[in-house]
Amino acid sequence: MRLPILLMALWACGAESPVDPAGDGLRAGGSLAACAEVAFVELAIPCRVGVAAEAGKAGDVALADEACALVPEGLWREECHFRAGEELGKAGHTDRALRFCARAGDFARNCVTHAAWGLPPEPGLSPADPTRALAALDEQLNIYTAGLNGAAPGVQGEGVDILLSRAWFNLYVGSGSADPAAARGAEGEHGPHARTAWALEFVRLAKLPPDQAVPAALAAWRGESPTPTGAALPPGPRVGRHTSPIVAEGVRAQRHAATFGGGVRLVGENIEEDLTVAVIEALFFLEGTPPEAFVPSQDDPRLTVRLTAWKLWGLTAPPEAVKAAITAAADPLIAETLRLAEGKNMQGPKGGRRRDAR
Amino acid sequence: MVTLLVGLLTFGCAAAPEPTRLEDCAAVEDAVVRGDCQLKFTTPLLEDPKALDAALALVPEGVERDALIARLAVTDPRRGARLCKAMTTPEGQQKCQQVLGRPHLGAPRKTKP
Repeated sequence: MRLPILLMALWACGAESPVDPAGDGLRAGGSLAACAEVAFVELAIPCRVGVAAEAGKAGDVALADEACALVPEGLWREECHFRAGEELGKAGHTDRALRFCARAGDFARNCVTHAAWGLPPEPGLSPADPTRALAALDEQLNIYTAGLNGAAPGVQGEGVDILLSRAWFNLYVGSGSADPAAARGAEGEHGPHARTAWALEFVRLAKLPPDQAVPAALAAWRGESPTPTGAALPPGPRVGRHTSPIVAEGVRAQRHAATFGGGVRLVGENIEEDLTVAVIEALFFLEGTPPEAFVPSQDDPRLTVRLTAWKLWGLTAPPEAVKAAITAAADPLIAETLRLAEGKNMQGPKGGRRRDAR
Repeated sequence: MVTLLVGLLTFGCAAAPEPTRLEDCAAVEDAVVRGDCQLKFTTPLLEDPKALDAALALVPEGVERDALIARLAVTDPRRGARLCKAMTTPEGQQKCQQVLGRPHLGAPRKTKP
């Protein structure tokens, strides 16, 4: 009777912690069992978030769900859903990705953006087969809407916008075909995204001086001139110049459409106006387009075209020129647009963003 | 005799002086208790970056300090990216790159944490 008591006392005193709980905690990962072994509760959280991300990569929704359920509610659980969602998106599991993004709280928009811009192209779709492309993109729209059902207010609409933008981007950009048939057939929510994507491929293939791009694109769209063709880009990232949203207060109520990598563009009042905006935006996407390319459209009578031209000029012109233009601007809407663009100026200290999309 | 032994052992176990400042944590033998001790004295400094930097400088560089920094970053994710810059070990830096240092974690929250 006495011996066990003595042994217990010795054991209690000598009970040992792991030898290297710090290193073990930092290195832990790969399985939920490994995370459960982590001695510091705080380090078990990133461990489980990492497991959820890996599970997302592998398309294992059950494991991702289980991992996130073990993360405390609030910011870290939202982050867990975000990581799983973006990885599922990159792996092409759109519907499952969106279900995670819908639960990502404050990070839902980021999650959808990452998931969307990581979405691989749908195999077998081509602008050369507009009927099939339109049917597939319509089906995608239903998947996006259903997947984001239950997300925070505003996330579903914005998310669908971002996803459609990506779906059309995948159809056209790098395809080697600027056949406008599919884009012309795009109706409702599809329309602006179809025109954005078509304009990107038209500008890439036409290789025209910037001042000829808009009239040539309009003529090709109307069927008055042949559409340019060229080599398709090899599978892999489509590289382009882009920026986060720039929306002046005065045009907040105006319709915008999501663009490459998380940005937005103004949507024109009619198809030709919208195409003009899309082509100017497409010129910006091409790394080499100089700021002067946007100057002719700065006096356009149409507000959407004019503001787009000022925005893109403000992003690409030398910072001192932008500063001077802000001071000289008589139109407060242009001044505000320039001020917003100035903060993201690509010649400025932050250098803008030139990220790849997959 | 046994009672005396048990009493002595129990006293011996419990007699280690309670750390009253971060520097005292180094004397704690148990690695988990030592880590918790470091966290206890540094967490209140999260709002004061200078004081936190000074406190972290008292902990020798290595996995133990990086684990402490990682735990602080989990506790206060808004400061994760900043804290990550102080990491020196490959495992710490990897944790930052993959999880703790993601820029959106530093953005102000719209909903309650």
